[in-house]
Amino acid sequence: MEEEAKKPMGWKELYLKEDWWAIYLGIGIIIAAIAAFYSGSTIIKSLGVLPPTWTDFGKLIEHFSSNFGWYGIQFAIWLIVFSISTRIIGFKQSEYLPSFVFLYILAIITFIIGAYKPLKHYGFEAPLVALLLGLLISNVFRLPKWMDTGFRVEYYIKTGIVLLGATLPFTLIIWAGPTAFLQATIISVSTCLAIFFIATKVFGLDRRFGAVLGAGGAICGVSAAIAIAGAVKAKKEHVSVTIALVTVWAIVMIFFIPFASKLLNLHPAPVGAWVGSSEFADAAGFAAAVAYGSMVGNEEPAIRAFTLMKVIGRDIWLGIWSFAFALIACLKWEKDESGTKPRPSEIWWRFPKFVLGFFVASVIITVIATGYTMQDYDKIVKPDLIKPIKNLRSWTFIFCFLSIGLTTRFRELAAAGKKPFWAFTFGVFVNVILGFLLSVVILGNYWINAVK
Amino acid sequence: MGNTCRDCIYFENNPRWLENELPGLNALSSAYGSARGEAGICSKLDIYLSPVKKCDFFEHRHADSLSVS
Repeated sequence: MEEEAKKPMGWKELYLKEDWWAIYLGIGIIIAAIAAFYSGSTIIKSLGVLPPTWTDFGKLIEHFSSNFGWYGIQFAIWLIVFSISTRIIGFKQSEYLPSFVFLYILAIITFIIGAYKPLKHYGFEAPLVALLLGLLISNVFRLPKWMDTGFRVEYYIKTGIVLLGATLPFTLIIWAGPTAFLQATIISVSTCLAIFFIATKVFGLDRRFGAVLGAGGAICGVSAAIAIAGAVKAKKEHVSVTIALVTVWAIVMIFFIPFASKLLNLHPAPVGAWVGSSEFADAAGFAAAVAYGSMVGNEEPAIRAFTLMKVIGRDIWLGIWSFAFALIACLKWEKDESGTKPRPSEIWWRFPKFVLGFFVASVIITVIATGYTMQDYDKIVKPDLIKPIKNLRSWTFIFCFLSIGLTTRFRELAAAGKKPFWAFTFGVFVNVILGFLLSVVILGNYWINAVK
Repeated sequence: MGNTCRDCIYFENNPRWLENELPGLNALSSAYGSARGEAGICSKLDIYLSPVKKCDFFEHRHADSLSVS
C-alpha cells in the first residue's frame, strides 16, 4: 500500500481523486434524470424529495408518512454510491458508513428546521442552520475524529457544482465568463499582492509564508494555500496557520455577507458575485450564496453569479497560479538551492477537474433546451428535469454545509501569531471592499441582467 | 527523476495522514482533491512540498532494507 503511494499517481487520479468521482456521480444523476424525463418516469422527481416549508407540525408528519419510502430509497442510493466511491478512493467503510448515516439524519433535521416558516423570517435558512448545527456538535459535544471520514466537504460540494452545471446555460458561461474572470482576477491579484506586501515588507515574514497567505486569501482558500505551499516549499507550520486563518474568516464571511446584504436590501445577483469574489472557499461561498438567495426567496441569481465568479473566475486558474509561484520560487528564491524547475504539466494535474463535469453538464442541458420554446422550457423542462436535479443538488449542498461545521474544530486549529493574522486580515478587508465595489456598485446592474 | 522527495524516507504524502497532520484541511478543502497534486510533508525539514523536489538530505526510502539484506 505504501509502495503504491510513492509512485507518481498520474492517470490513477481518475479513480483516486474526489474530483473525478464528483464528475461520475453528478453526470450519472443528470443522465438518469434525462432518461426519466424522456421516458415519462417520475422516479427522479420522487427521489429528489425534500421537506416542505411548514408551520403546522401535523402537516410535516403527514409529508414524512406519505414519502417515507422515497426518503428510504434516496438514502440507500446516496449511501451506495458514496460508499463505493469512497472505498475506491481509500476510506475505511467501517468509518464511512456510520458517519454518513449520522450525516443523513442530521441533514433531514436541518431541512426540517430550515423549512420552519417563522425561523425563515429571521434569515435562518437551511445552509446557515446546517453550519450552526455542525459547529455546535463538533465544538461542544466532540465527535470522534474517525467520523470525519463521512464528512467530505469537498466531495459533496464538487458533486453539487457538477449538478449545478445542469441549471446554468452554457451560453451564459460563454457570455458572462470573461467578465467574471476579469473581475475575479482584479480582486485576486490585488488581494494577493496586498497580503504578500504586508506580510513580507511590513511584518518581515518569510516570503513563502507571504505567498501561502496571499494565495489562501485571494484564490480559493485552503485549496489554493496547499497548492501554492507545495509549489514554493512552505513550512508546515505556515500551512497550518493559513488553514486556520482561512477557515475562521470564511466562516465569518458566511454570516457577514448575507446579513450585510440583507441590511442593504441588495439584489441576489450582485450579492452572488460579491460572495464569489470575496469568499475564500467554494463550500463556504455556496453556503453564503444559497443562504442569501433563500433569505430573499430567489436563490438562482445568487448561485449563478457566485458560480460564474468563483468557479470560472477563480478556481480554474489555480494551476496557473501554482505554476507561476513555483517558477518564482525556483528561479528567484531558490537560486542557491537545488530546486527543480516546475513542469507545465503541473497546471493540468492541479486543475480542479470537477469543473470539467460542470461544463459537460451545462452543455448537455443547453443542447436539450434548444429543442424547446421558452414557454415549453418553463412549463415542461424546468419542473420535470431541472427541478429534480436542483433538489438532489440541495441534498449534496446540505451534506457539505453540515460537514463544514462538523469538521471545523476551533480548538484544533493552529494558533496564528499577530503578524500573519493582521497581514491576512488586511487582505480580507481589501478583498471584501473591492468585491463589494466591483460586484454591487460598478457591475451591479450587469450581474442582475446577466443571470436573470 | 531519481532522488526526488517521492523516494525519500522523510517524505510522506498519504492523504489520510496529511489531513491529520494539517488540522482543518478537510473543513474547507481536501487532501483527496486535484488541487493538492501529490504534495506532502518532509519530516526532516518540516516543510510542505511537491514530490518532484530534491535536496541534500535525501535518503532513499529503501536504503535500510538494502543495507540489511
